[in-house]
Amino acid sequence: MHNTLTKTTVALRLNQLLAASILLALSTNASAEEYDPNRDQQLLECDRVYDRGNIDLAISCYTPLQRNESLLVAAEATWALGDTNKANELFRLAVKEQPRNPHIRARWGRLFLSTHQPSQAAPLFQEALLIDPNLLHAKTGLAAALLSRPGPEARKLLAEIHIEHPDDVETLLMLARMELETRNLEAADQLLDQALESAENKALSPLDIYALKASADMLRDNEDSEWTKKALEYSPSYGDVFFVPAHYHLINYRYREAVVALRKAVEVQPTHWSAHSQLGVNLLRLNDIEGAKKHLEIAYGGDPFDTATVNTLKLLDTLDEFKDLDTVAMFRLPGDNTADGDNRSVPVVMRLHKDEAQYLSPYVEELTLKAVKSFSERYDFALAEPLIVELFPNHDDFAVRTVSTPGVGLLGVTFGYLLAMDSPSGRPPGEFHWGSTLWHELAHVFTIEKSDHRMPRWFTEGVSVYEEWTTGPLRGRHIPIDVLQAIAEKKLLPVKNLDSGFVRPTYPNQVTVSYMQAGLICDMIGEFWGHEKLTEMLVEFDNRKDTTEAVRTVLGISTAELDRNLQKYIELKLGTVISQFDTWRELLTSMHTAAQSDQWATVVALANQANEIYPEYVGNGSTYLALHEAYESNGNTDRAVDVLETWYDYGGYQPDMLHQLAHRLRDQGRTDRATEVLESINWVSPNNIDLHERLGKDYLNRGDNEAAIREFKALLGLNPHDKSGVYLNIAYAYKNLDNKKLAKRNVLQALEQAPFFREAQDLLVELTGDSL
Amino acid sequence: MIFFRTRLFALLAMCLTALSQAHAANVTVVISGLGGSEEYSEKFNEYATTIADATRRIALTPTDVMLLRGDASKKDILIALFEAIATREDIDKFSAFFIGHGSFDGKTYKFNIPGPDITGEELAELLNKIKSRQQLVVASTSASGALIDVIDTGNQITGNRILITATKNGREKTAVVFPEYVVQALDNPAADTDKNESITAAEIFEFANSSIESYFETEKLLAPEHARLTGKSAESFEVTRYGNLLARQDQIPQELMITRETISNQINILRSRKEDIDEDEYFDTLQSLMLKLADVQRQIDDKSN
Repeated sequence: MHNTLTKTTVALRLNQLLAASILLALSTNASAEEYDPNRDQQLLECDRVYDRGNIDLAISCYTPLQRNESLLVAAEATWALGDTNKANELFRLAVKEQPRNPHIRARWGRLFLSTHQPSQAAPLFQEALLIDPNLLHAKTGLAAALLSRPGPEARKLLAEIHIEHPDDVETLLMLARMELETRNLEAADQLLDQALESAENKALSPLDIYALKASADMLRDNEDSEWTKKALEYSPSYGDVFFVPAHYHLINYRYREAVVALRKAVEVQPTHWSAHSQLGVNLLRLNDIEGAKKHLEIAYGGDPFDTATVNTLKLLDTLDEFKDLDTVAMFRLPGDNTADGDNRSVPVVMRLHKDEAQYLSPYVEELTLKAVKSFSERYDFALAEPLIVELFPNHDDFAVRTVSTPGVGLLGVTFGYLLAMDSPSGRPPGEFHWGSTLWHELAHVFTIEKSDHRMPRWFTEGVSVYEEWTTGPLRGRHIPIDVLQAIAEKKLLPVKNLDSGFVRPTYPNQVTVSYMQAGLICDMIGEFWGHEKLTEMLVEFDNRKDTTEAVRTVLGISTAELDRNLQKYIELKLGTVISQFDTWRELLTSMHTAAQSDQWATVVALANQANEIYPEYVGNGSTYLALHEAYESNGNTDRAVDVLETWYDYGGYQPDMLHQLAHRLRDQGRTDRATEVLESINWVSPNNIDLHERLGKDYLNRGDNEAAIREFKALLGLNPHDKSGVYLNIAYAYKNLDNKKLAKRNVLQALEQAPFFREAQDLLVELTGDSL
Repeated sequence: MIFFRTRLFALLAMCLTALSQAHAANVTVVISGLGGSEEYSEKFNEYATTIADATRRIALTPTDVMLLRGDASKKDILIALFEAIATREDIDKFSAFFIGHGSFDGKTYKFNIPGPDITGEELAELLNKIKSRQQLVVASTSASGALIDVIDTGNQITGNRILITATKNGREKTAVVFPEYVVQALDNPAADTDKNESITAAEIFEFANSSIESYFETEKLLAPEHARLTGKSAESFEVTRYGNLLARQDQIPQELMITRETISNQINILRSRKEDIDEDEYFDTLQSLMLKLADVQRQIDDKSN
């Protein structure tokens, strides 16, 4: 076998020797020549030279093959030497010359896989399989391409191949990787042992198997794996033996460990461009911006086609437009009665886009400090490093920050002490409750760090959802309709397999269903066993226990019993809507149909029936907004306000409706309630001048001067047309707080904008004494 | 320091010139075009009436403000009116407000009025005939940005013309919300950014423009209109007044107004040098000037009361 290491090294040497213009490094396990049973003998001889690291000889071996009379051999040799563009052209000519040859198409597909283009590789494998439905190399290639997509297709195809070819090494490796992703280590070991035996029988290189064996050891917390040593003895510069385990660190949130492994990968194989790229991406996750830049630039120099590298380098340019705002979070640990117990603190850096830093920072700061205080106590954990909170107004920048590629549907992600999320301006008003997202991510910081990044995915997500529901800035347990449907259809996974619902979903909304299931489990543990059991489970995860062991140790039951308890809990909390799900959904559908034709009496009747089944529902298609419209249409304003208030109390957060509710409440003279409703909009859609102006005035009127200052400063951040009035109001608030110096400075700022502003002149005269 | 005094003298001279022309006429024409629907017709007429009422506050006589609505805005009447105004020699400031729909076929802008529309070129010709020290043209219609290439603000004759359009070019053709915000600005302290109770063309433009930008930004909608202001001195072109200055304008002694403007100019000069001065020193100096201005303001209020 030969591997990425040797190929890229050859490419580099060739670059030096021949000054070739386009030389590329190839990605891990991408070409898989070793698993091509039809590989040309001449190429195999060169491959063997690669495998043992004799690079100069390998170059001499491949170079003449570039001019081989077989276009396929020439393409393979050109690819081996790193010129993927030319290799692509040669494959094209080879296919043109032999259009009915499925093997050429399969190899061409592998070239696309190697250059990070699985969507272009898949059709080539499918074309090959149309010509020869039994071509194994095309089937496994297609499975590899499908693995990059969500959904069950890859797993299904691999299962089929495995039945037909139980000793195919490449299939065994792909199956083992999937088992490792969900930490089914025994299953992975069995598959890898089979692969080892098969590779030996077929005289294939064992290096890929060693890398996965080392990954399994790493997942068992054995960092000194015998398989690493074996791999390096076989090929001293085999970077994948570190690069592959790094992947499993990463999907388990162990960014520091991944960085250590990736550093080793580039140390033994300096031309492992994918390792440099991943090292850059993950140093950025640890807030080492300069280190990230260095490795990303090295990666780009070697492989300018890696989209993760290119996107992240672009993101680094974007980060120049961000401002770091420092603050300090105070916290206290439960039972800490020492003198310093009340003075514990951790620095917080808010990294916000300069255009929105001023209006957003007061809210980010308020919620972050509140969360640190709350979670430190609830999870008995003291943050040990500065907390970095990043908000991106451009969703694609956030997506690149998260997964190095734009176009993902995530809202936030936590890498440990650094979290990143969409800023509220990154999406249309009301599309997401950014306060809840920030609360969710901040909870992750505690679960991830307290367990030393050892908690299973379901647990950290579950705790974050549970904290959203129970302590977050939005009332209510928000469960989407499609999740209720999945529960009704009994699609929930056993808790011991719940991670697979996040990592390898088998139906479209399974990730969301898994989030909600995990949230319900943690909610149940908190309610039935007590919140402290969640903290104890984190300790168990830190002690390297898995879900089964942690549940047994802390709750004293098996995971199967936990699953049964969950059914009871769901019955208790959601039983009515789950048992009548179809009826409830039909009522909602009929209600909306009636609303479309202005049949308001029908709307009211159907909405009330639906609310008898599940009054808490305030998500898409909720009854309350339809009821509001019905009552408004009938001129029954008071009832319209009532239903809107009920909707708000259950956690409704559509900003235009909240503005409307606040307006109506003010009309009714209920100013304090109106202020409360307006305040809630700050956590959904704070990018609104009228909101901060109204709230600032409300707070000033009722003597809450600190809150008034926060609102007026946020208002200034939105660049209102009339800044003088805002400065004047800030001056009043400072005056009320007996801060004469800041009051005077702000009134002067008001007058700087509007020199003839009589009210500001009067205040200045008052503040400066009898100066005239 | 020499620069400071020279500039201050020049500004003072400008103020005196402006005051000496206080009795020259301010003539305004407000034209409400074809609505096309009852809703738009009502809106356009309402906007036009509000603008006419507001501009009347600084007119020497009520008849210096002319409002054309409905059939009165037909082309022949409009031309006759402009030609009649063109015969006057006493006009200091002339303003024309066009409210309604505009169209642009890639070559010609047309203001939609009952009967034949009037083109941008025809409007430019009419405006060029008006003899006034300053002109303000506010085209609050769709596609009005096309007028930027037609109504000149830069040559020797029209160098003192200010043109405000609701759109940046003729391709922004959807019905505009711009006039709604122009109307809102007319007696709105929020539009009066320096709070001198006088609303200028620049303040109207800034208020309308920022309100529209803010609306579309908040709603995450693509703004279909982008207002433009071309020409000089929009910040000194007074469109209307409100508050005390309006109520007592005949009772305020001129010397106090001159002192008020002098201090105001000193403040403007200080503000322009803000970046070069130590922050505390800047605010100390500003405080001293602001207290003087407040004193003058108090005297004005006392006199006017």
